[in-house]
Amino acid sequence: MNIDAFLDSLANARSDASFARTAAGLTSLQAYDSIRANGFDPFVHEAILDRIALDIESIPVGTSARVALDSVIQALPFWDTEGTIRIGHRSVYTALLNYGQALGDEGEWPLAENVYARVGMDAELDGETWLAAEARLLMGRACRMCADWQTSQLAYRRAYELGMDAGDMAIALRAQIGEANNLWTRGDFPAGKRLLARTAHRARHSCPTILPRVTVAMAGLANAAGEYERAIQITFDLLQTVARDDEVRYQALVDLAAYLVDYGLPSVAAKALRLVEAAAPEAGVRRHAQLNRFFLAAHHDTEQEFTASYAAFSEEVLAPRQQTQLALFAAQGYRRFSRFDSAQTSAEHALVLAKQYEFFQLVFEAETELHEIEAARTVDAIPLAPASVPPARKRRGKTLYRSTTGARPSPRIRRVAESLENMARQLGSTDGL
Amino acid sequence: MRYAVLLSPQAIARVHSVLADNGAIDVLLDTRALLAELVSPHDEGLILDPALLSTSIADTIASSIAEYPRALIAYSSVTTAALESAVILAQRTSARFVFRGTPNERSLLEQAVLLLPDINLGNDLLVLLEPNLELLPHGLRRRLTTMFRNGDGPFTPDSLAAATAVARRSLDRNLSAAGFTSARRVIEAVRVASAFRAITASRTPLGHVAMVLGYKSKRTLDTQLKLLLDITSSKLRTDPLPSSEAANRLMIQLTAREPGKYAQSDRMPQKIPGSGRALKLVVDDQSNEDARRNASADK
Repeated sequence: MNIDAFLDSLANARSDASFARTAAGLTSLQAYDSIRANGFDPFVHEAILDRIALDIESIPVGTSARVALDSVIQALPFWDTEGTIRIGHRSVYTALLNYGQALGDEGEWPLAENVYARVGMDAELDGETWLAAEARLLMGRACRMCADWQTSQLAYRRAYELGMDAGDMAIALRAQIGEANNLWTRGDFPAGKRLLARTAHRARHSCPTILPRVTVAMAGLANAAGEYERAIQITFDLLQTVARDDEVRYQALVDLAAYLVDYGLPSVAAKALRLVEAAAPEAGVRRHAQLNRFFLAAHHDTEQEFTASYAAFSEEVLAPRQQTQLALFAAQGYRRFSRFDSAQTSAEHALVLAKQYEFFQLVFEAETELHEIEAARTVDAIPLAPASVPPARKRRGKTLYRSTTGARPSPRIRRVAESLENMARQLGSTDGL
Repeated sequence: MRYAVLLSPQAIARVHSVLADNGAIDVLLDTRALLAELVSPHDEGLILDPALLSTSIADTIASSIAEYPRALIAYSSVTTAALESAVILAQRTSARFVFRGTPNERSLLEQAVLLLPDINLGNDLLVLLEPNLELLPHGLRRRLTTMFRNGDGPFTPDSLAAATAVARRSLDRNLSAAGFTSARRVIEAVRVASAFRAITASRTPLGHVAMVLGYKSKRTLDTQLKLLLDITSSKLRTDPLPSSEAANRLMIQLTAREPGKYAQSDRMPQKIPGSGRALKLVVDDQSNEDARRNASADK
């Protein structure tokens, strides 16, 4: 079993929490390896699983890794159970895939890649083609996040082949979308565009359910290529057609918010996020949108709105990464409103959390924030954040939007903004938004 | 088609979105409603979350389904509670299992929900194929029986071999010894049989049925149907074949070979006595017969 990433992570762990989390994962994988090779023996394995359960207790409550690891150790005793299908094998592979996804959610992509590689190989040997295809698809993404482009491409190609073998065109086409994303992320826009166009053509004929995902990828490519208006328009058109598919609908809204921010319309972006926050069925998605909206409030809204947004988090249970981000955004907001003491406290809190959980990018950002606060204290009263956008004005029943650059958006984008406002208003009238 | 469901609200929403306009669901509020539904079935399929069932209820469901066969889908997350009931269902019924939490769970659920197996076709086919299945090793026989019953199985001969823990060549040898045409033909027959009910008894567009089956287009589905049932999907929908007739046609296409005709000893290359390393090539039965006759004439 390749456990290099786990060993690296353990060797570099700088906090007990991080060490316990990785150690529980590694021990679970070793238990899986032993059970897979020798079968489940209660005399041998029950003690190990009990030990892992104790280790899991030390992982913070609310983290997805804790839930996923719990499900792995619950599934392992059923490994040898067979019925008309190998139910034990299927459940363990599914639990491990969930664990990989949980690691991905927490930014532990090298560890996730290890888990996916293992599941992909074992499931394929077991003849569980569908699960193997799924594992390779996820591995492709994990490798991309680790900037391991070559392995990512290999994983996506294998996912494509296995998806076709499993008779699941959706997996095969998603693998092609992943490969196209690889291409444009590295700057090869024409090749990415060609592959996406080809995938869209195939999806239209053989698997229309995957078309929205192709469109999402096309919008991402357009945004990365600087065609902001096109990205917004594509995503907005997509929103009109995916009323039933919650997963794509809320992903499209979050993407749309990101493109609107890039275009310079944070107030409209906040409306899109508000829609997600109010209506997304999954708590994780709602919380993510809420956090993004808080970021926008910290950088663009009035002090009153910023304080109200911050207060909304008081009763939320957040994962460690989200806690760190919240503290960091709060520091940025306080600095913008010249409340330097609160900003300093928040930034220091973010730094402590980031160091404790080893979110190195956030450590860097928190340290930068502390320097910025120090600089702002000395200069004082110089606006450091981007100028806030004046609220949209009404004239003859029409809303006038203005971007952060002061330019007026094109009529197409104005229509998008107005539609989003209408959607928010409709939702508000039913849900008390 | 109508489905009785006992699931969490989130899972019900997922089933709703997968079904779209292709079926209706009756939500069962608790296990008492489920037991009532088992005794007097109103719906064609059952979609259950094993985590909501105790092991005794799972036992009752298994017994009831043995008495009144119908399609069963178990849709749950991976927890001890769910697995304890799921194991009972897996051992005593031909339920299809969809575990929650994978990114493409939707397509697997769609396959399970829209391609409900036709219980009569499965039973008729298994009765017709019994002499052939009897000749297979236990593991392979069990796997094929499940595949014909619930339509859930590997899509390539290689994955079928891996799933039954035999080498690909052994799989081919076992199947041909039992009189099956080929592993590929068996897999295609399972695929076509799994779509039989969706074609004959539902209003799901045929193009969508082809897509859920993993075919490129309706034309590919028609090619397979023509090959195995000698009928196109449109014709099958307007004028459904009786399940016994469909089973008969499938059986003929599946067993073009006579069981035992190609016994392993006949197909294995044999050493020619006293000729060192030379091998006698396997020839067809007629030539074998001629060779034997010549040898006895020489004596």
